[in-house]
Amino acid sequence: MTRFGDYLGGMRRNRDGDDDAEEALLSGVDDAASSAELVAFVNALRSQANNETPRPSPELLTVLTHGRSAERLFEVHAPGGTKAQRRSEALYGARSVRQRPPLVSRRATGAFLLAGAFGAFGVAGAAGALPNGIQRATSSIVRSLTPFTVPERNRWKKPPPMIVTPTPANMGQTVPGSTETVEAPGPAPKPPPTASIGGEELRSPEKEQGHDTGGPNAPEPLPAGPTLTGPSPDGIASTLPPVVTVGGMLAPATTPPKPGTVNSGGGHATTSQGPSAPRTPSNPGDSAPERTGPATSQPGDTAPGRSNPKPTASNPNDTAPGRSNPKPTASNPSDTAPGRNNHDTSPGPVSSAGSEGTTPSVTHPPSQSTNAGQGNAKGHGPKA
Amino acid sequence: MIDDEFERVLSGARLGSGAAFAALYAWLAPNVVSYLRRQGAEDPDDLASEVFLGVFRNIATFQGTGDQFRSWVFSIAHRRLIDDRRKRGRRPVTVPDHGRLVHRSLVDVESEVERHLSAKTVEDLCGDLPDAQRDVLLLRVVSDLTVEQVATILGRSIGATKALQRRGLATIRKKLDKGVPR
Repeated sequence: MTRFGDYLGGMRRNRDGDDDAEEALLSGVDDAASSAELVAFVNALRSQANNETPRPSPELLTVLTHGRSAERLFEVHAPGGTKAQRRSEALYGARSVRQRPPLVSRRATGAFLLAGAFGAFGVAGAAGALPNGIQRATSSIVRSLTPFTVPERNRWKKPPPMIVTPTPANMGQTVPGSTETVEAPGPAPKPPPTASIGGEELRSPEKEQGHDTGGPNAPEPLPAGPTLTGPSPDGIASTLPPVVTVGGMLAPATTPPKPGTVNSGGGHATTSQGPSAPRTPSNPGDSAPERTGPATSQPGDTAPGRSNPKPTASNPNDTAPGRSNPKPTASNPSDTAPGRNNHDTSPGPVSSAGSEGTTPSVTHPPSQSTNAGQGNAKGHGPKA
Repeated sequence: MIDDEFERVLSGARLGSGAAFAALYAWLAPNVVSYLRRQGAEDPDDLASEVFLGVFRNIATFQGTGDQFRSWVFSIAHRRLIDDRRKRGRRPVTVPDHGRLVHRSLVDVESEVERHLSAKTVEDLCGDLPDAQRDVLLLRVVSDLTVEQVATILGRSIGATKALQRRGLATIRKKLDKGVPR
């Protein structure tokens, strides 16, 4: 008796006996352990198999008659000797497989492709579009072989960007790529100022055309807007220096602005804000009756009945009737004392020209005219 | 076929002798056709011809004894059978060979009737078996292969092949005990 019990051993013995009996049955050895009917079935199956008389196909009959040569002949004329041939014949037909292009045309195709690749390489080299090392090698080879000159890649590099710091010397000059122009004050009109760095005149084409588009990110050039002429706040403007923005940064301007004239886009903009700078003007005296268009959105232009949830401009004229100001910061004219910061909460780089309410020459593009009358400096500036 | 004789025939077949091909075909073709027919091939004769054409085409690559050659031939036949099943996409149906039996019955009526009944019974019993069990039993009995050879052809282990063989025989025994009409 094993530790697994007698039953398991008995099962194993029975299974072994069954295996032997089955093996004897299937191998044709007469075994008394198998049932007579099962033995009869196996014998009938085996006898039927041995008595089959197959009928060979014509191809096989040819092979059986003529041997290997007939088989080779069969392989040549058979539809698809190999698997790949059969697949391609199934896809494209047997005729297309047998009628392949001759070797000469394949070579011509290869030569054509090689010439095309060479030509593309030459064009890329002539355009200077290859990488540095390859471009240098290509240009040297072309220079040595041909009278043509292929530029090297270094010549195509852009010069480093110019950084112009607004100083009294370059005030009023136009910096290409920047968004502002500082116009030098003075009663006598000066010739168009030009900045020269390294002997080159720095003038943007927009400036030459009389437009200041507010920087490279401005969506479109501004049309000529109305000219506003109003009383000059000489009292305050003459005392505080204007602040100009250069590249989104604040920089103090040492020269006072040109008094009395606001040219909104038609001519030289005196101070243009950055692309995303909200408009925060505060012109205390911007109640010009001669204003003919909505080009400017001075805080004092708030139309009656318009609500200004968050006014930030420090304009004493913001006290328009019917205006509701839940967060007044400078609605009181008494808050507009010179030198007082009026809590300008406008986000982003701020062109704080006149943030003290003293700079008269603030120019806004006509697209800001939708803000006219709202007097809200939050988020209504020109955005790129 | 004795091994010496087989070696001689195989050498002739490698050289491309038609007589050697015919000898090999006469030796194994009946079993191959019977195997294919019991497996339900649509045209067992044509399928067997394809099998032997493949065998003769690649006979130069074969090396071994007569038993190994038999196993090789039936492995090719089994693959062709699977391809044939895939083409048809349906369960194998046994094709009775009545015409040939009728032709034989002209010779010996009584024995052929008995054989015919027996063949009908065998066909029914084989057709009712599951595919795996039928594969094992037919390869064992009709092809006269060992368990190891059958396991190699079917891609199964020896134990699994034996289990299938046991279950197939048990199924046939049950049906025979119930009394299959002869």
